[in-house]
Amino acid sequence: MTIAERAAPHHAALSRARLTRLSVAGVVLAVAVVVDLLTGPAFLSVPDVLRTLVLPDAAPARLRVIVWDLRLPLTFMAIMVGVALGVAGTLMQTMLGNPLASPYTLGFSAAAGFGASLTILTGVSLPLFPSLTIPLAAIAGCAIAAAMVYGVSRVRGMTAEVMVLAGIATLFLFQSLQSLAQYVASPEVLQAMVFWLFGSLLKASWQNVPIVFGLVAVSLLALIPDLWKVTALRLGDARAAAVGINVARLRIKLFTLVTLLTAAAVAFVGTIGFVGLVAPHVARMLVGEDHRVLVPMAAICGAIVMVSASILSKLVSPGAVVPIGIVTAVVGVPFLFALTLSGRRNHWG
Amino acid sequence: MLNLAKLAAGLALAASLTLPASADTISVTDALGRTVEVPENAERILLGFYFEDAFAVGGPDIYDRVVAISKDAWAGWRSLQWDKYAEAVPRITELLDVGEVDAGTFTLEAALAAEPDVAVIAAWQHGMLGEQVGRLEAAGIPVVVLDYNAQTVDKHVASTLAFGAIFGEEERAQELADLYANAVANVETRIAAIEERPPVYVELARKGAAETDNSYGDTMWGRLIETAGGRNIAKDQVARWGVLSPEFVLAEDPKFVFLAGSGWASRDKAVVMGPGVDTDLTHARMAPYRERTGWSDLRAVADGEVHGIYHGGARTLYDFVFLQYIAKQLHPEAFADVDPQANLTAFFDEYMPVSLTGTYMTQLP
Amino acid sequence: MSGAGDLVVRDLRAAYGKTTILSGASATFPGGKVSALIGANGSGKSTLLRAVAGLLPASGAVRLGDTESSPAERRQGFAYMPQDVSGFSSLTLMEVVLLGRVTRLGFQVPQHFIAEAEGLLARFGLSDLGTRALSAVSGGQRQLAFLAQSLFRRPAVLLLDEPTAALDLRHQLIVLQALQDLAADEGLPVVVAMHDLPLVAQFAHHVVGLAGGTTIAGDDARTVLTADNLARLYGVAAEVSELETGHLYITPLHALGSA
Repeated sequence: MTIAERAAPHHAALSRARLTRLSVAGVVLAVAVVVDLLTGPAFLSVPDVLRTLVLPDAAPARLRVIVWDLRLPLTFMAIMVGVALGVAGTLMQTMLGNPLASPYTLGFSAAAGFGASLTILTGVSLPLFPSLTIPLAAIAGCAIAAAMVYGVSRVRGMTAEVMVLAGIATLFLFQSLQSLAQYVASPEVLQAMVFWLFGSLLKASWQNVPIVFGLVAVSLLALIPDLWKVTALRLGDARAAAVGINVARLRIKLFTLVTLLTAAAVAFVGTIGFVGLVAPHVARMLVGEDHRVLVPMAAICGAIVMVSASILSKLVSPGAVVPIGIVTAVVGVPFLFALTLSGRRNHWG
Repeated sequence: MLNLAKLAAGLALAASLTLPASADTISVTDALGRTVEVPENAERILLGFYFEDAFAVGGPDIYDRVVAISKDAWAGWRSLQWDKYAEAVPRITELLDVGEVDAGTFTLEAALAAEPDVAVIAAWQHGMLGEQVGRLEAAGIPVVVLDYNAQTVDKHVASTLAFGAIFGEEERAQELADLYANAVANVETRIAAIEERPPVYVELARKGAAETDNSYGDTMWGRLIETAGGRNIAKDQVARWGVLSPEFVLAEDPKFVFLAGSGWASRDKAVVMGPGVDTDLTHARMAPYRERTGWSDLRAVADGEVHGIYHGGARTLYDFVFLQYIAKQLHPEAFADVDPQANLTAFFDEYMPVSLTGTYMTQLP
Repeated sequence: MSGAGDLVVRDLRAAYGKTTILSGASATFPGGKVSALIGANGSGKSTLLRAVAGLLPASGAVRLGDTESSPAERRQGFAYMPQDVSGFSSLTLMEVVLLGRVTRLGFQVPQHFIAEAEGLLARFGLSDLGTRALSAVSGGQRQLAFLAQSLFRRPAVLLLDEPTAALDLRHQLIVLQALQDLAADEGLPVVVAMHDLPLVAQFAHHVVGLAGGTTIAGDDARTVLTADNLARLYGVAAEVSELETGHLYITPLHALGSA
């Protein structure tokens, strides 16, 4: 036994238990990923899929295309979006000190949605990369909302209260603009807008999955060295400052990371609600507040919800496409109810 | 002494003054099976939809008797068509606009201000207007409901005959109704003996190859495919219309792919078809669809069976030519003697105020 | 870290925006003893503590023993416990203590840190509560946990803002006793801003009174806690008497002047 384990047996045991839960979650995710790869309207058999994954060149063209060009990018995108939303949600909740915060609280997704809607409405398209038009418009929307909230917060002090107020104003602004766009749109354009708002994994391809992966990876790498400082924010601003944290600077950094992660999540997939709110809570119930474990757990939980939603949507409607945002709510809500009703003591504070 | 003659005349005059001061009315049975009392030879018609079909049944001058239309459903949804008809029949540009029902811009006031004798609307408009229909009727405007969207022979016939009754063109309407019914019956007869039902995929080609757009269940193109002796792969997957999963399309491996194109103005990736459209442009827009993930392996692409059909042509009196076209692709031997393109040209020559130009049905070379 | 002497504050001035809060406060807080900082609300107690801790811009000099400390040095070496009673999250007590050294934690926590933290928890009788959440322990235990956190920083000075304000009597006594023992054991100056005069009398070796942004008294408890001083500090008329046991007995009578 180490010094620590002898001195603090309970703490060591708790740490071990948390890591175990994290590992179990990882295994659950892996299983979900495999199931997702096995599910689809083509009803491919298990050996077929496994063989195609391991020896792609030996497989018939049809199988290879379905597994490698259709299913695999979709599954990867689901994982990346789940990770992005889970982590962004956790950071938002900690940064704002509010258990109801989500990546969309500060109006980022409303702005992204408006950016996309405006593009769909005007039919504008970029000359060189037309398929990137809507994603870039979504990211631009996100960035504008972020700039607005940041600008106001800088002037009035980087506190959680100011950020939330600025965020709410931004949220309502872009939601109104969104409604206006929908109002003036013709029925087919409206259908396109609404479909985007509900979220869809269908556009995932090997062209855009690396982009999302890059953004998420960069954000996570930037976050890791500061995870202890983020945990300290849970002490409240005054105590965090007292133990030496530059609270304003930390908030700015987290704010930037949340913007990046949210933009990555919505750019190619649209707005998928619920994951960014639920994943952090579930993770917190299971592993507590230490963000070194909480953030990875929230990432995995987010990914599990997304992949499960993908599986469910394929089982329910193999032929037609169900907007994934609807399914995440269907998957997430009962789960949250179950955990709340299970009587575990209040895990927020 | 009583002057009986004068008394009789006076009584007759009095009696005629107390009768409602309306012209003769006729009973029209519409596509929903309703019996509506419509003024004979109506001169002030409010037309909500089915504008081309009105031309076909009523003749080139029929719009002299129309006072109001739902303009966006024609000029907005089928702009190329509108341009062509506006050029030939400028009268249509002077008509009052009552607004568009689906976009929610329809106003009862505009409809009443036009003072129509009768309102002719589509079944889907009837559903959306709800209680406003009752208010029209209460204002003394009979409402006749037509339905070409259902894509059934019965409703096509009923709608055509109803048009005929309203316009006073019963003979012409009957001719057109028979033409349609016979054409469809003919197709059904020819495929009755055939067992094979090849899988067919139809997609609205509005968003371009990079994005999957709607396919059709048991309506519109979906219904036509089934009637033409094909198996619509979307049939049990979507209700009326919806987007199919790309993997599903690959798994079904359709032998024929039909891309429904139209005259969408601001879309530079959509498949453009319709009046005045150059076939080369249509083909240029269709070609990228062959490059979709996994599509090079589809039987339809490998065999060169990718076709374009005019989306604005469905749910019209002449949609039987598309039925013929689809059937001819699916079962070439059984339809060797049928020439849908020629039939369409003949239809336009005979019944429409403009001649046929542009691309309505084409095979991607 | 053993006490390096007395904490001396000279002519401290601090403002909040345009409002001057401290207009030249000077005091000495002896090492190894608990000093109480008393005064009415708004007299500048919190400001003084935060200025000394280097968390607030202020002019004046702060010396520990023989050496003068810059604000940055004080932020590093002095531990400040704010009055903030909110923010009870589900951080475990062990995590709370470890966060005392958050600026020195990378990703991994060194084993000896954990052992040291556990030792601190044990010192305050919180051994079995190491894995309990902050929100699941009593107010007194929470304060002791925060005390442990402050100590984990191995501070040269402890500055506490109303640490017993929200506690019941028993826990107030427990915490103050712990502070006394701490001061004596570690030899460091412990400065506690407090309201409760009987407790001040009981536990504070040295009392500094703050009124209108300046110190008006700084001496041992018996000398400072007089009726005159109480009138100047709080605007109240009170009777202060010494009992046979030697304890001070303070009876508040009525407020002086208008409200």
